[in-house]
Amino acid sequence: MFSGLSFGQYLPLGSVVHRLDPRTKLVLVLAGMSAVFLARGWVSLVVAGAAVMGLALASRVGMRSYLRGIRSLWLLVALTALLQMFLVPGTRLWSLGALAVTREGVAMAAFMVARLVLVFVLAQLLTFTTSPVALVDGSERLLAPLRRLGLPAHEMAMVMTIALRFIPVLFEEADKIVKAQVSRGASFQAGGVRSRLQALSSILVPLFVRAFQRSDELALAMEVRCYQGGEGRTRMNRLCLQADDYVFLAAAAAVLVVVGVLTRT
Amino acid sequence: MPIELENVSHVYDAGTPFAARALHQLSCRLGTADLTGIIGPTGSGKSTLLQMLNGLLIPTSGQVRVDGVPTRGLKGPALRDLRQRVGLVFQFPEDQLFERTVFDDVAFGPRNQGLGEAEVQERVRWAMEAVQLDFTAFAARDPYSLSGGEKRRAAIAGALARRPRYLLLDEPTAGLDAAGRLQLLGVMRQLAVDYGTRVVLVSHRLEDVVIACDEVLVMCGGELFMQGSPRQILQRSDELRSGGLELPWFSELAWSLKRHFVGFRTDLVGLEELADEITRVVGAGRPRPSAPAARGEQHGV
Repeated sequence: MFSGLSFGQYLPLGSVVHRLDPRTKLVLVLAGMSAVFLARGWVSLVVAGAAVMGLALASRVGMRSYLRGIRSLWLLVALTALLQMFLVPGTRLWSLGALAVTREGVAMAAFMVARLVLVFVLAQLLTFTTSPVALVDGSERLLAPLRRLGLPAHEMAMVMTIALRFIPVLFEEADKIVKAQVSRGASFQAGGVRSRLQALSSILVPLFVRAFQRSDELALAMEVRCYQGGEGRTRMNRLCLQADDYVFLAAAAAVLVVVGVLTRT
Repeated sequence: MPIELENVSHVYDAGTPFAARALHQLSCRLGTADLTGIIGPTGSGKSTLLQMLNGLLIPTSGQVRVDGVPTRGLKGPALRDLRQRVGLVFQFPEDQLFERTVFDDVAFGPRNQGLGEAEVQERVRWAMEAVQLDFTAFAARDPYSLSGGEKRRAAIAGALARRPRYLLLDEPTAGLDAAGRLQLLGVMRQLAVDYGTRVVLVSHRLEDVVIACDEVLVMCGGELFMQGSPRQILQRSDELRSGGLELPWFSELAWSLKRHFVGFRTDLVGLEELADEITRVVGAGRPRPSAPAARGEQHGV
C-alpha cells in the first residue's frame, strides 16, 4: 500500500558525489542554495544553475529521478508561478477582471520556478547520494562546535538517527496492520464518521502500542551496552576530508563569489 | 470449487531498482483438503502467496481464482465478498488487537459486515468458543492483559467471526510453546471437522505441517517444489533437505533406522506411528496389550 520509493530516497550508486564527505555535501548544498537565492537576474542564476546541474550530473542519479521528486511538489511550483504572474505590477499582457498577467510577472514567475526547481534538485541531491546515517554523522560533526554553547549535538544526532532508522520499520508495520484490518473488512473510505474513526483507530492503536514496546526494548538494549550519551565516546568511522572534498569546496566557493559579484554589478 | 492459481508470478516494486521476485510461474489448487499446509524456507514466497488469495496483492502476471471468481479487477461489493469468503490471519496477529475488550475486538469484523448486534453477539460467542476462549471469562477483558497464546487465539477469533469459507494463517504457531502449538493445531482441525472451514496454514516447521495437515505444498525460491500428502512428502527426504528444510525428528529417526532394518517404513507421521513401526520390526515377538488397527490416513494431532 505504501510505495517503497519516496522523495529523495538514498540510491547507493558510488559516484564521485556519493564518495564525498557528508560534511562537504552539506556545505555544498548550503552554498548552492545560497547562490540560487542570492542570484538576481538571469546571468547569475544561470551560473548558479549550471553549478547545481553539474553536481547533479556528477551524481549519476539520472534526471528522471530528480524530475519524479519535483513532480511530487508540482502544486507548490504551480502556485508560486500563478501568484507571481498575477501579483507583479507592470505591462499588461492579458487580464481577467481585476486580475492581470503582466510581462514582468511572467518573467518573475519563470525566475522563481527556476529557483525552486534548483533548490529541489539540491535537496534531493543530498539525500540521493548520502545515506541517512552519514547525513546525521556529518551534521553532528558540523554542529559539534556549538556544544560549548550547550547544544546537545550528539544527542540530537542520535535521536535523528533512531528516528530515520525506524521510519521503514514503522511503514512496514503500518502496511501489515492496514492489510490485517482490511482483511477483517475495515474500510477507510466508506461508511459514516464513526466507522471511519474506528477503522483509523484500528491502525493507530496497534501501531503506537508496538512503537512504544519497541522504544522500551531499544532503550534497554542501549543501556545494557553502557550507552550514556556522547561524553567520552569514540567512533569507528572517523570522517576525514579527501582531495576531492577540497576540490568541490573550492569550486563551491568560486561559484558563490562569482554569483555575488554578478549580483553587485 | 477451491482456490486455483494459474501461472502466478509476482514481482515487488516492478520496474524500479528495488524490484524483487517473490513468486514465479506458480500453478496449484488450494483448499481441496480440510487442512492444507504451505511450507518453505524464509523468502520462498509463502506470505506473498497468502496475500494473493484474498486479493490484497494482485499477481504481476497469471490468475488467481477463488471459487471460480478471478481476483483481478474486483471492486466494491465483489472485493468485500472475496475478503469475507477468504479470511486472512497475519503472522503475530496479536499485534493487530486494538479495542478495549476482547468482545469488541472480535466483533470488529462482523460489524464491518453490517450485521445486527444480536447476530454480532452470536458470531463473537461462536468464534471465541471455536478457538477455546471461554466467552463469559474473556469477553469483557482487555486484550492486552491476555497471555501470548490467548491473545493469538483472540486475534484468530477476530478473523473467524466473519465466518470465512477459507481461513488462511501465516505462521500461526510461531512463538508459542509446545502446549500452545498443539492446542492451536487442534483448534484448526476442529474447525475443519465441525464447520467445514477450509484451513490453509503457512509454516516453516515441517513437523507441525505434516502432523496437522492433509495436504502439503512445499515452496522454494518462489516456485512450487512439491505437493502431496504428508506421507508422500516425507518419502522425498533428500529433496526436502536440498530445498533447505529440516525433517521432523521422527522422520530423521525413521530414515536412520531404515539403514539398519530392511523394510523399515519412512512415511511415518508422528511419535505413535514410529513407535508402532519399531515394535513391528524390532520387537515382533511381543505384541502390545491393545495394538490398534492400521492407522490409515488418520493424522492425530
